[in-house]
Amino acid sequence: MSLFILGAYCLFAQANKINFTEYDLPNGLHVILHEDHSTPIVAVSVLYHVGSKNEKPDRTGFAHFFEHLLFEGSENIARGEFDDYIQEAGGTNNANTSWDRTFYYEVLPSNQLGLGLWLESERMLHAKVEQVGIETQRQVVKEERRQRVDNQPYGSVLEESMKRAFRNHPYKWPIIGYMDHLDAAQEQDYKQFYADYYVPNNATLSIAGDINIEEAKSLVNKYFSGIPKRQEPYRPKIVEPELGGEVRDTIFDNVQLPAVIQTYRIPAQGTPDYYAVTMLSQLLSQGESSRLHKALVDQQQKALFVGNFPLSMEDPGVSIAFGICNAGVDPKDMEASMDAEVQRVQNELIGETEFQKLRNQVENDFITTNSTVQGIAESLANYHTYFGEANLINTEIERYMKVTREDIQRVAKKYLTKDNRVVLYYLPKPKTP
Amino acid sequence: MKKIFFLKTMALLLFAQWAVAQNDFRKAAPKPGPAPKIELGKAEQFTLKNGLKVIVVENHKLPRVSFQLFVDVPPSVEGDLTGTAELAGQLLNKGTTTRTKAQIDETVDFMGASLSTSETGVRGSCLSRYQDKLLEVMADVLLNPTFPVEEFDKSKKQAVSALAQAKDDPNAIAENVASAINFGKNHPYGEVVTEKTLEKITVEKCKEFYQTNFKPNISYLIITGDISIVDAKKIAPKYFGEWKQGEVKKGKFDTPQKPAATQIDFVDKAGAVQSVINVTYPIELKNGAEDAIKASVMNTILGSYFGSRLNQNLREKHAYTYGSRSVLSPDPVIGFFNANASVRNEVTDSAIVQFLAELNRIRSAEVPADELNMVKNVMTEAISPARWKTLPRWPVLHSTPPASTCLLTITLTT
Repeated sequence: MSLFILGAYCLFAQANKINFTEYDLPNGLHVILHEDHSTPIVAVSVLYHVGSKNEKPDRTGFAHFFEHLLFEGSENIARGEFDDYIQEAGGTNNANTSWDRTFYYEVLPSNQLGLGLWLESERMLHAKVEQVGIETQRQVVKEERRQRVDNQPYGSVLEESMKRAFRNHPYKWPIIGYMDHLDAAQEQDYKQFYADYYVPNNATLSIAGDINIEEAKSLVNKYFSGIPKRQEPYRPKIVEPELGGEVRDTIFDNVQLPAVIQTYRIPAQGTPDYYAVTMLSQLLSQGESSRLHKALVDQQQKALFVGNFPLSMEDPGVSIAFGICNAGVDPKDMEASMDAEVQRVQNELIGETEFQKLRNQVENDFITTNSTVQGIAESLANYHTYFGEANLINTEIERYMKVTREDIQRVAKKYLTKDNRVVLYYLPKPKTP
Repeated sequence: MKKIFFLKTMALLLFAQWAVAQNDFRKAAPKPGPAPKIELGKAEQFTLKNGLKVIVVENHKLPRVSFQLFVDVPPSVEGDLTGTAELAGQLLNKGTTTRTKAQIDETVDFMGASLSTSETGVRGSCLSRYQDKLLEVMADVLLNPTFPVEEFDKSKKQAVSALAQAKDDPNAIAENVASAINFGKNHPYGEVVTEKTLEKITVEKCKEFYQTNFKPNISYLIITGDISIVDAKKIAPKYFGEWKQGEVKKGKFDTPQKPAATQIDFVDKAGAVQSVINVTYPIELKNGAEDAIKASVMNTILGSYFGSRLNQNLREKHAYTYGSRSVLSPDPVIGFFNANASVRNEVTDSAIVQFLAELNRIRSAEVPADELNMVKNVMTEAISPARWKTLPRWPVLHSTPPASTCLLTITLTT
């Protein structure tokens, strides 16, 4: 086995390097260009550094709701035509919203780069939202919430956990928002939100694919340089105090099997401890040989499913351990086994072979992430926005490789503690006659 | 608090609009440049002596390679043993003549690779430098599984829990009901796994399923990624050449009949905040049939892209749903049509009215030329590079329903 390990280690730098050019327009828009001619397509994306954490506490869900509205049209694009242009060109498009940012993209045949830039610049310069669009999307988003959260077994797990794990920080409310806030949003709210956050100095335009850098630069200049710079948007600087003791609660839901959810507070993405926590959660849950899976699913057969997943968040966030009991298993019993696996990491340094497995998994995942042009465009924009260093797309793996076995043990002791967690039991609703 | 800021921004905004009004290039979408040339990756197909068909698609962008060993098991009725094939498939990687489950898992995870097994074969992917190591395990689970009893018991227990979990999943309920209604409970596609059928399955039955069906002469090995065709030609016989061929019998069952009239089936789900509506219907349509492409275009117009009639109507016009779509799935045995949406309870009836209206419209009125053109663009894109990942998965061929497809069964979860 040892030769095999050595081989794996020496070869890790083989992944293809991603070359890119980046610069700022005078209006503050950050531009990143990656040229790759392997397929005749191009991904055009704009990342706005605004997510649910920028929302007002009485307007939760707004960033995501607003994302829906930005497909409505602009001064030059009639309602509903935004998607038509892309479909007619044979492209695809979508957007998504997180706690920290909103991301829009189109993937087009490469001869349609101009179209993608025109559409995104229209969206940034003078998006137009009519009342009928607002009312329609308000309902659509409420249906999205029902479909994803309210009507899904365990669909509210994240929402219920986050609202107990944070008392001050806006991470305490769900990205999709609360129904009454979605109902309350008014036209004035949209105008303000657009003016505050959809500004070039709060955005990254990231383009990847079959482009010529000089041509792309000149098109970017044509469509985006005339968009005026505006003031710096509001960024919450809320430091969440320590949890200060375990929080336990029970949720009765439309589920058949009880579940246990342990939410641990962890450091922000990009910090050295975050990488160690990520590898710790791999140790616990990535693959069938991972510790939680092997112990709880395979050997003890207490869980139908179990895992521990850190969330990537700009401010200090959480890692969530989630276990669903096998039929007939007491959740207390399952929780005790989950805790035992954590204690094992805390008490015993992990072995070399198991540690090397984690490093190999990191490498595999790192290489796989960059398999599409839209994935590359998004990674470049993320790295720039969060860390001011787009080149992490090539080098972030080194940060993982700095993590030692001792680090993994140390972060297990530091963060996976009782006082630092919220524990929820999801139990079947009692049958009412 | 932000009033002053806002006024300032509005002023800037107005100025911006005035400024760009001078720029006519904003008024209309730019024209595309000349269409780019599409170069397909190198691909080749060959057959081993034992009848295993091998398909290789080279793609060297990332140092990764994927293997799928697909066994084209003919469908058969499982009756009171429904679920046997599924369990057998899950058990393939749970122990071989030379490896325990733990050893298999550790070997695969150590490479950061993935390996999964099912009743239709084995899939795996890894960094290309591990390809031999992964293939060794893949071939082992495919050719030498031992179906250990303790693993069988575990899998069964898991399956019982999974059934319990599905009972609260509205989509799982709707799917079960739809397939039972479309194909009948005595058809391979309509059989539903229950606690009762699970109880009856034995490890011997799982072995029997494997022994009678897993043969190279009905199988395909599909290799994509960072591998040369020359290498693939060495690898395929090395790992799968010893696999013995054998006759695989086709199961016998009746062809499902169309429902005689529109039929409505309700499943009452306490506490649900949405109705899951499925309008569904069995169709006789095979891939490559004369109508296949036309029917697929029809279905795309109706419900299989964002701008489709169903989605525009139920989402963008009426805001009943987060999304509505339809699927037209051809199949060598029997296919199906399914149009669906999750809608809030109080608009369940209104949503069904719109489903019916769209189904009638596509049957009775000619599709306008511009809509048809748009859909052709959407569909050519679907098979064009815009959808390609740098590591292509094996393309799934879409099939077709007869143009006479109409709706007959409504499954509601209220």
